[in-house]
Amino acid sequence: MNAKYERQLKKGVLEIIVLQLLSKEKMYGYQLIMTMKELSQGMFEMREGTLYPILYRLEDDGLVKSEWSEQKDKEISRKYYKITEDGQKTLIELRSLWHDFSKNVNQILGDNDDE
Amino acid sequence: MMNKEQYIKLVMKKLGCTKKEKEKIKVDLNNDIEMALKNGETFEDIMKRMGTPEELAQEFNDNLGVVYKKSHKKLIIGIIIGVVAVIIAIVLYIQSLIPDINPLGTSGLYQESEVHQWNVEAIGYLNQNDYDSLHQMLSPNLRDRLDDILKAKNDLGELGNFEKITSEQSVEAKQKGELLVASEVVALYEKRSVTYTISFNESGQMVGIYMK
Repeated sequence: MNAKYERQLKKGVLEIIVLQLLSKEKMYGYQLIMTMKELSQGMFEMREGTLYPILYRLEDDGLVKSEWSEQKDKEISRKYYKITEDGQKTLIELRSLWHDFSKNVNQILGDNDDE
Repeated sequence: MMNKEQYIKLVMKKLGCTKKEKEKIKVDLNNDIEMALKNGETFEDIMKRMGTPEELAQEFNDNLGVVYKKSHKKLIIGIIIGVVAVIIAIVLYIQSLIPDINPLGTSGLYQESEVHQWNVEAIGYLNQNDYDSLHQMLSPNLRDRLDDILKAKNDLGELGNFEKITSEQSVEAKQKGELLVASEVVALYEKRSVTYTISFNESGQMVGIYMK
């Protein structure tokens, strides 16, 4: 299959996934990439060039916020991302949207199976 | 073998986004690579995972949606400037060719009486076929054409005696930086009228003549 179609499909859910993960705990960019990979069994192997533009957009829209971790001993302060209140609210709306969305799509796809 | 700094530097070079965005990306990439190294990945693994600097920069550019629009806009602006410049150049050139025409007296360089005098003299010399006087009156670059001028007068045919000037219209014309005066003079002869178009320069030298 042309990888383009798979990419298109995945593109639509990346924001939801990122918000969902950040709603559980604040994370570094690297952490987000690794966690997504694990939880999706490798299907969502996002690269930095895709993840960070999404984080920047979410930040511009006020749905996530970036902060610097506390400096501990020799450890350098690192930048991490966390979800905001607006982000939580939006996540709830998006989850509901996803629910309807997947239900409808399944319905359309499901009909074809019966034929 | 590339190191982290070189890698990031190359990515920065190929990025087409705003300076602010580039700064953010630099910080995040640094962070990312450090964490990956801490996690046990080798820099080679990291490069394999993230792609070459060019690939990574391209991915950022695509997802930030900036580069192509920018260069497209620059191209259009460049073309418009080019076209406008060419149009201006053409207009200026044509303007320099077209004589700037104003009524006699506008510049103060030519007096109507003086111009009338020149016209009358010129026509008089032509009527008498006065080669020498004409030669003296002509501007240097017209002197070679003196024979053609006299021939043209003869080609008009038998005119009869000169009677008078029935009309005279003059204008000042700027051509190639020089201010000239041009007159359309209608001269009545026994048999018919002749319309002369004569041009003089500031020194009273004839720079052009046409007759029909």
